[in-house]
Amino acid sequence: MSLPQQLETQPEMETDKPGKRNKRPKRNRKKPKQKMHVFDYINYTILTILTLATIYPFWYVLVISFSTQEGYYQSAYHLLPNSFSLETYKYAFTNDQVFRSIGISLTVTIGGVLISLVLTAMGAYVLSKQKLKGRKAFFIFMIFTMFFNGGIVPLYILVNSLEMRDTVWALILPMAINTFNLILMMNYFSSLPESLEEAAKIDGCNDFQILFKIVLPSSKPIVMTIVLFYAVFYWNDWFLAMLFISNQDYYPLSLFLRNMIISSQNFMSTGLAIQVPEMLKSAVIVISVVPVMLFYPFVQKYFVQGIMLGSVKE
Amino acid sequence: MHLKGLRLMLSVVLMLTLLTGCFFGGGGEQKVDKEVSDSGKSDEKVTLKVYRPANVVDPKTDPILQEIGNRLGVNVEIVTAPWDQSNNKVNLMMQSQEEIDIIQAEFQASPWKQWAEDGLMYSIDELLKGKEKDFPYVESITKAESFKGLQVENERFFIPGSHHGQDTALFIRKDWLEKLNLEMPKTMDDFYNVLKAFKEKDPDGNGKDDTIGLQVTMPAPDNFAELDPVMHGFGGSFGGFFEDYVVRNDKVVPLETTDDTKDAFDFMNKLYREGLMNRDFPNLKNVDQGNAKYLYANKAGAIWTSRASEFETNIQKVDPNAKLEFVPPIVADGHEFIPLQGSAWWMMIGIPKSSKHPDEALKFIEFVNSKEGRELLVAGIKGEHYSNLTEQGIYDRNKENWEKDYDVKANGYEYPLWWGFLTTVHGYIPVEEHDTFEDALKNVHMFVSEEDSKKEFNWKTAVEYGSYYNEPNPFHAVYIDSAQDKRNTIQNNVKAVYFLKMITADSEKQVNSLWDQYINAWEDAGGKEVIQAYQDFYDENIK
Repeated sequence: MSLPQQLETQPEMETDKPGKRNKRPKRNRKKPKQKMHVFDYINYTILTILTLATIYPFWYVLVISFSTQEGYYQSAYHLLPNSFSLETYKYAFTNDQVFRSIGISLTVTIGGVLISLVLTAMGAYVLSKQKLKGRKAFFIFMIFTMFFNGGIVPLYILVNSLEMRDTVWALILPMAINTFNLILMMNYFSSLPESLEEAAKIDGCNDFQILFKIVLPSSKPIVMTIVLFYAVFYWNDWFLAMLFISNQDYYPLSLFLRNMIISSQNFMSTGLAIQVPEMLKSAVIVISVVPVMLFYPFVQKYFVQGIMLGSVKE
Repeated sequence: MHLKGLRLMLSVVLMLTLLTGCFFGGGGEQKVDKEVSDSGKSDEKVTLKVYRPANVVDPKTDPILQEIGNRLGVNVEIVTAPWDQSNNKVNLMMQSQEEIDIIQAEFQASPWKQWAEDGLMYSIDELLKGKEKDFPYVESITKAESFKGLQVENERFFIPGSHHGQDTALFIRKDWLEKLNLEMPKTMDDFYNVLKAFKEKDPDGNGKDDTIGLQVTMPAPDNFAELDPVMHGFGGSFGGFFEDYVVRNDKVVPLETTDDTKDAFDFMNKLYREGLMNRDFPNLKNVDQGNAKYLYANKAGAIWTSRASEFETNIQKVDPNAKLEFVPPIVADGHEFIPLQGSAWWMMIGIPKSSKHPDEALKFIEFVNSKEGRELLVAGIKGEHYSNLTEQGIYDRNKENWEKDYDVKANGYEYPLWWGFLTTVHGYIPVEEHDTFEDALKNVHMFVSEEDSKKEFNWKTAVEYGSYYNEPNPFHAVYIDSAQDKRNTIQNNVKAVYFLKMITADSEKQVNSLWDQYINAWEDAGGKEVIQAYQDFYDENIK
């Protein structure tokens, strides 16, 4: 059903208000019970196994993070906790490096999302204007970077030359605009009615005011989707920190965690006796995952909407 | 609405400013910088940028690095990257010609030769000209016979990052031996019987058939190092980058294709089939995984390691009576034990042309390898971290000060940069007391804390035990361009495939068939041409 058709049928639907007696037979209101077929059972079984396979690693990490060292050594692979201790979390939260890394990740994520959102929105808004002269050329210029980039050496030289090494900017600015996100946003803006902006112009708004006061507030789904994309990227990214941060005190949580997990394997080859306990690795994994898990439910409802609305043209 | 948005934006900006201030560049560090600046000395000192993978100390506040800086009259800055990304980082620095004074790169994984040929590195010969006596360590190691293979067109560009020798050995559960009235194994048959008893006679006393003899893990598809004591007990070899070939009667022999190696595979397959070693070893990617499942769970009787002390402590958390003991090399009947063809180095250290202070960089390299430098990097600052270091290399550690300056919970009472910071020797190599570097290395002077010296496993005993199992390979620093591709193919496509198949085969007959296939594949991949290339190198340079 097209949107105009939906709008036409809406008044009829409104008459079917709760509390009003429906004249239709009662049994018709009942949802027909669907018969389960063999295929459904197989389907549910496979999906259940897949779900368990997805949940198990998280569950395992959670269990180990609360284990005592002795409990872990007695049985490294167990489904149900065989011991319980908060010592590892206590250590993690009192460890300066963990605390500092969380702070740096928060700084980079909040700052990065804000900067990226503003820049992406401005780029997308301009490119969504059909009347923009040279729009196609600009668009091709942007698209080109999706398929070909300058490579890592120029990026490294550029960031170093701008003296951004060992600063928060090295973790934010190089990836401030993601072309894919920009296209998503641009498509969404294109789908907004022209009349909205025309009305704003009549009221005396300039382009910035239109973007920040009219367009962005009307584009909550795409804004939240883009915020999610950028937030997850900045929170998880370790590569830029690996390239540009030399002082371990300034490592974001992702790089700190990554080092911690791979360290025992690498150190082993040099015969060194530095070992990060599995419980601590697990605890830091849990700590790093929790913020994303807390954040996701708030934007989930906009997520599908944001992607789909931007992609469908009428 | 407008005001609300403005407030929100201002709040975010304020929060960001606060966070950035908190986590990037704390007030303490600024103070240090200012103090240095106020003294007027910082301007006189040059800043040396040294690359060191996986650095965990802050040069601005680290007392030992500052002490080194003071003694050499330089400021030390460390550029770093995580271990597994180290080669990428060094490559980037070299390609972008970033200003860096000292780099260290892995021998096998970095194009060090190319850098020298492309003129990106300072020649050590040129830097040392007329000053050889002031740089005894650099002069000795770069002129060593065993490192001749690192020269590029007869010129020295790199200094090997030395190692105190291999410190890995076989250890066995002594308490299990005693409990089951078994002797320390001497022959491979003894070893088999001990492992069988460990599996079948319930040494942990829990009434379950849940123990194994030998614990093995496999860090990479071609890494069978933890089975080395068995392989070398038969006089064979898995062959690796540093232990491929030996010389017999002036002929280069690839041990990986000899009958001795075949016999070793038969034996390992027997251990595997009978469950005397853990059958899941191909899935255990690191020793910590294996330990968690077997050794620390009180379920494994023997292991190949350099971390005996740490392992023993952890097993004792589950079984307080657990005791590990060093096992001298075990020899199979009718075979001769061949030591691992190990190496005494692992990194290429050089001074790139982008360095603005090549002379200071060379002095720095010399210092951190000297007795004075090693004392600082291992024992710490005299009067602060220790008060006395004896002739025997025993030092009294001041734990209180050590805890004040370093995260002992993460690194123990060891300075994080004692290893891998242009050298990996828990002591020093006395080059000035010996004519050749090789002799000096055999007499490496180890440092051990007083507390550790009373323990059975410490740095001194580790090197002593390791020496039973290892000796330097004549080809350990030889890099032959023309043979390299074929060597890689053999390592990755032939050995990695057939070795695992032979160990895990269903029967001895299958091992025989796989061995024939392996030899054919080895020859097809150019094994004979590789040996010829090494033979030519031996005839021309070593013979």
